[in-house]
Amino acid sequence: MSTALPTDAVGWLLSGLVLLGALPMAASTIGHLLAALHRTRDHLDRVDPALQPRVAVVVPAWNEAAVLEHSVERMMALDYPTDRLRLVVVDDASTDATPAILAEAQRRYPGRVLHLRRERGGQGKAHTLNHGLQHVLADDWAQAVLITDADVVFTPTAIGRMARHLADPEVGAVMGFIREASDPPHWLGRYVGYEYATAQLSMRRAQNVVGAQACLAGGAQMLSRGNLEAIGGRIDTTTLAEDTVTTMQTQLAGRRVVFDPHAECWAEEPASLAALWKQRLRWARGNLQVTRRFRSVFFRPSRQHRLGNPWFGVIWFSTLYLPAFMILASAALVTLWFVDRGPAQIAFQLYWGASALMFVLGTVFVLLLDRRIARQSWWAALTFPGVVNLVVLAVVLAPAPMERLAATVLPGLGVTWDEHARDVALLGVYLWTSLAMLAAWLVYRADRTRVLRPLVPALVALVGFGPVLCAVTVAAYVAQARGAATTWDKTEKTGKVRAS
Amino acid sequence: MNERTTHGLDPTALLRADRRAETALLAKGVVAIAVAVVLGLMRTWWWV
Repeated sequence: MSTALPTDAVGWLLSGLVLLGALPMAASTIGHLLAALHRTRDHLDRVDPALQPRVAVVVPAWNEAAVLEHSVERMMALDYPTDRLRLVVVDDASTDATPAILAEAQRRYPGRVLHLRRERGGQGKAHTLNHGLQHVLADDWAQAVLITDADVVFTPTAIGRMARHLADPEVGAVMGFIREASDPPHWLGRYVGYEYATAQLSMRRAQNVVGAQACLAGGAQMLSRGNLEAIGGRIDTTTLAEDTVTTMQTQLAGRRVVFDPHAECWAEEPASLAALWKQRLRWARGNLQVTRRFRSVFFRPSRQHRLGNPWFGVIWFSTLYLPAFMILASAALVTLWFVDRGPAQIAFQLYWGASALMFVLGTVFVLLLDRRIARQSWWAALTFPGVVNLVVLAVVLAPAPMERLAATVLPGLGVTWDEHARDVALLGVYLWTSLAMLAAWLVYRADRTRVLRPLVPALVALVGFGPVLCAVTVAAYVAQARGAATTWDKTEKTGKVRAS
Repeated sequence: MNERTTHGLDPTALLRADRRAETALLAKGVVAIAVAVVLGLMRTWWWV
């Protein structure tokens, strides 16, 4: 096939749009490289390792009987002075055994566990948290507040490792690393585990380096009392991403938000695609709401905060609009194919070639970051973009061997591997970038049927977990455009988290 | 400031270990870049 540079403005424009599609991947790659430099800005030189402020742990709980007993016991056994840690569980009018479990916990740990009950519940996590925060801030005992979820289990040193950063008065909030730890590990958890390693162990380190954090971990965030009071003493209740709002408010007030990858805790993530979809749809819709609210801070340098950092802005928006980038690249490539095939071939090679190398770099780096995740989630890491995309990457990286393979294998399957077949395959590949999201949505629909559900793990490997997340983002665009209600959906947890 | 906490873990030793782990990230980044570069070179010279 002939290749040539574009001959007119339309060709150049379309080629540019194709290459723009690689921007999100490029931003991630820069993030991995920044993460490798984390020691230069990890904040570990400004901590006091022996600092142990009085910490009030606030846990919102609605029908959490399955998980609460375990997490309370683990919390009481942490490597932190018992007289400096209080657990405040806000029971959001639970109708299961939650009140009884908390009554027993109060009896066993007098003065260390407090059960607050809201008689009228169901307003959502932020309202429940605010009930607890109001109580905690009513006296001056708490020097820091740890906000977490009922199912999150902290490793013994996690709270101490978070608290040490508060020795720096510039720090307003610290977050730990949430590890996916479902027991036994399930296929979806392996994808989420790898995704968390990428999003937290790599990207949050990168965000430490540039000095701007996108979002405090909902299940492991410690706020200094001063910061909490400065942002109004309460959590935002107007969006579905209250953690992100707290993160923004903290940084806009001139305080740093720090990620400590060694402050580790374990959480159980959804075991079905349908449950994961519901959770991620809420997150994606929340992010759209937050972006709208804080749109004026991006790409604008400020003396108060680093949220205007260019890389931070690119990674924020390329994550938020990743499906749009993919559809744009795909549409431009197909259009270019019909306008001028030579430049289409060049744009395709550049786009996919760069994507392939960036995929390899990112995957190797993230798997090197954590041995347990590498051991458990290597297959998920490999199939994260989907087997179909992996075949395309192989074709781009090793065209001659793959051509020989196709010429050998395909005739045996009754396919004549000629110029026409190549054209059809190439057009299919160009379109796949967009079609993968549609395919991912169909897999989600399949997960809701009893007959097709057993096939879902194989289908996700084929289509890719990445396209599934993109499809959720598209669903969030649609929900927001339709003006869907801002209501909180609880993510069901079973309490099966590894204990070590 | 080298107090031991309730379980006998030394916070200063933990901090030292954490700093070492962060320093090691640089080598991991170099390995990842090297793998990608080698693949890129193979694509350019051998597999075209």
